[in-house]
Amino acid sequence: MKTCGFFTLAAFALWPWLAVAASPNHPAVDGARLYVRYCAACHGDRGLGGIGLPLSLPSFQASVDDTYLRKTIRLGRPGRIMPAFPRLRDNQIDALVRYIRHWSGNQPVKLAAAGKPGNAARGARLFTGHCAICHGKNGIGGTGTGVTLSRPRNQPIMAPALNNPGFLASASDRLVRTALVRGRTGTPMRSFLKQGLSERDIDDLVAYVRGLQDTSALTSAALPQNEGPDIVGVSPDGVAATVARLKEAVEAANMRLIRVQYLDQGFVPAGTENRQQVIVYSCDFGFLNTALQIDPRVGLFLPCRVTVLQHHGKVLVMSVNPKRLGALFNNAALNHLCNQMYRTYRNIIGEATF
Amino acid sequence: MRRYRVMLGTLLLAALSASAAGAGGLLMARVDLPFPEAMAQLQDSIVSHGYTISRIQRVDAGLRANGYSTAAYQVVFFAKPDEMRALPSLDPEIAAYLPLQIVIYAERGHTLILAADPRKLATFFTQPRLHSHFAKWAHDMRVIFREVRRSGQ
Repeated sequence: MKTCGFFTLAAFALWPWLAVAASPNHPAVDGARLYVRYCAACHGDRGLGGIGLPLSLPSFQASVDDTYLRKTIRLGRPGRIMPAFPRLRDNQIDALVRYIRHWSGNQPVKLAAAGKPGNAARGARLFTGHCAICHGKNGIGGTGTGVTLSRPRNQPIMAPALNNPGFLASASDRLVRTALVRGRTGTPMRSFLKQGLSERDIDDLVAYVRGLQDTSALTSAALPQNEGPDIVGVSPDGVAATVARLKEAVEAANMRLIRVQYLDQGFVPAGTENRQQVIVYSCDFGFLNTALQIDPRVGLFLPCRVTVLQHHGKVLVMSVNPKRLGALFNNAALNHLCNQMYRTYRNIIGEATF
Repeated sequence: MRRYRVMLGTLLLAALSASAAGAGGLLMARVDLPFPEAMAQLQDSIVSHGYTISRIQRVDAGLRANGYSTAAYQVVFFAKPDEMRALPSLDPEIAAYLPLQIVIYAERGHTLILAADPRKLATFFTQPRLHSHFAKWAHDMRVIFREVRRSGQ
């Protein structure tokens, strides 16, 4: 019966895939449905923003062309949360762009006129004086994750990372120029012409932005294949003694011990749990609060837990590997926190298995 | 028969991977319901798919108790009892990823639900007999997310 259920599940899961593959011409795709599936969780059902940018913002709609939207969906922003969608078909991306455009009534977009070739060195000085306060040194971008109200925010959006390879590949010089010339109403981005910069200044800034490179963003988004899924130690003691040492190690690491329970506790009748499999939960609330302000999705790490388990006569002490799990978030701002968590787990497990 | 199930599990994972279209390693859904109602729907949906909820971690309560302000933010732990018993013997390192968990938190009048895509576990763990479980979890979580989302429409 279980096998039958499994085959039924497989048939249902494979059906849309096989149906599309069998069709010589892919059916018309529904942009609204694709938006709900891929975009709404971060950008909001009505494009009002959340973890992601407010796509329906009129000033945003008026200052980005369809090419920018298409390339952004395709390439994402390595290391800046927005994932790439390399497997979406071109007609699916077109449908998504049409759907995103419906918020502006599909008004044609007219970018600012093309400028003249600028002086990047002069643009760098202007950038430091006028742009870096929001976009960061070398255009690394603002911190935080958009307009989510789960945590206190001091800006309605985070300033884009202008040095991000996804941005640089998506944005034309005219698009960058448009943002500088017009600003974006509803965001901290103001028109720099209105703030006194000249057309030449704008051209120099565009030249500087075009020359930005940041390979670290690319590497930060790559899944660290050399890292294992777990951090594992082998204890010389039995489970009970190891758990006792583990609790001491947790407290020595200034973590709050939350609870100790059997792995299968809550799943089997009380008293029948496997006592050779134990989880120790703990938390550093200050660290957690910092991490949540950087990315509210980090709850997937919560709470910190170390599992002690007897397997083939060995007592293993293990945790998830934050470096491996952290790569799922496509958020380079989390890297140093993941490294810190990694070191903390390593120290705790090392102490418990010494 | 077990061999066929493993093969089919692998095929199923590949199909789910193709249909997920590179959306990254996370499953996310926005629910147009206030947090308490979305949480109730989430628990109902998890249980209706044969899972047992072992615990709800109130992260928000812990943060507030330590002087930090936060909106509602909780983690739901769940699994199937037979899998909790059996899977660590296939590969003990999977225990660090058990029970399964879904994060649920408030954002303005909406609620967001979030989980690591179980398909990603197939890149972490090579034991083929685990892969059919990953495929089943991935399928069930997608259905659960869809059900909770639709409950708000």
